[in-house]
Amino acid sequence: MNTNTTAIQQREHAKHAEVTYRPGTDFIEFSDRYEMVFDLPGATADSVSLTIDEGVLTLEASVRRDLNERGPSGDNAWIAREFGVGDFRRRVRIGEDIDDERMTASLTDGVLTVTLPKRAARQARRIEINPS
Amino acid sequence: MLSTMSMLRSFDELSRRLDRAFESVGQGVARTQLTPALNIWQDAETLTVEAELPGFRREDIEILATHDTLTIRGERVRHDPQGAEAVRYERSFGRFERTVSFGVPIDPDGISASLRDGVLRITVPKTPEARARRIEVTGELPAGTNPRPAELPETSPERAGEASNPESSRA
Repeated sequence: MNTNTTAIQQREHAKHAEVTYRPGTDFIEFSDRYEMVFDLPGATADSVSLTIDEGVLTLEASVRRDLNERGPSGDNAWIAREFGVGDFRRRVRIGEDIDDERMTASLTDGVLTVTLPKRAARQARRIEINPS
Repeated sequence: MLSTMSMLRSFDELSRRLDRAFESVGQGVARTQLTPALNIWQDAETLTVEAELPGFRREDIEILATHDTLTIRGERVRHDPQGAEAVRYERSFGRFERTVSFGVPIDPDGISASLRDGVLRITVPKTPEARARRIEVTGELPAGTNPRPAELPETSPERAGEASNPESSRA
């Protein structure tokens, strides 16, 4: 391991870590729920955090590409560097009709889908008429 | 029957409803492009290409190689959600193609690729001629003797660098 190269990589790391990526997000409304879909390439379930505080949903995903383990370790090893070790972060103020306590999320192939049910009061309900 | 204009208007109203339901807060570098970002690095024998392809499946991706280029093609298909009342899309869908020219000969038959968590990783072996080789520095030789590696002192230039740069050795 070339020590001088390590120093260069640490500077690179620091430079890229300043970048926060805002992931592309789809918003879909259904009669009973909303769905948000985020592109988070490289993210794993344990690297994603979803929090709601005072009506603001914060998505954070920390995608650490360890340079020593996964990347180059020698002189002139990088040829192109278009994505870095930056974190994904997106904050969205959510509507009051969302029941955030029933929020669920799933992550597949680097795509996170968050399901936000609407509050029951807002749903159209069919009321059965019982025979007397 | 709804006219086209009133249909557009009603869709626009639904979009505004979504805007009210989800108001974006804060900043960041937007990442919505379909054509994947690439990281490429090399060691003496191998070139490695990583491409960000969230939501792609193996069958959506095609990799083609020549003696010194690699082409990645793919298509991400949007499946419109059943029963959606309103949508606001930022993610990109469709076809992309990117070609990388390495400038050194590669072995197309030795290429392997894996897809994990939306990141495609392609390992590309260089041909034997293209591999970096370490050339031993030899001492001055008396005429007629076989070449032998010179006896260099223990301290290599890298170690000298470490000694003069305490910050890097702390890592």
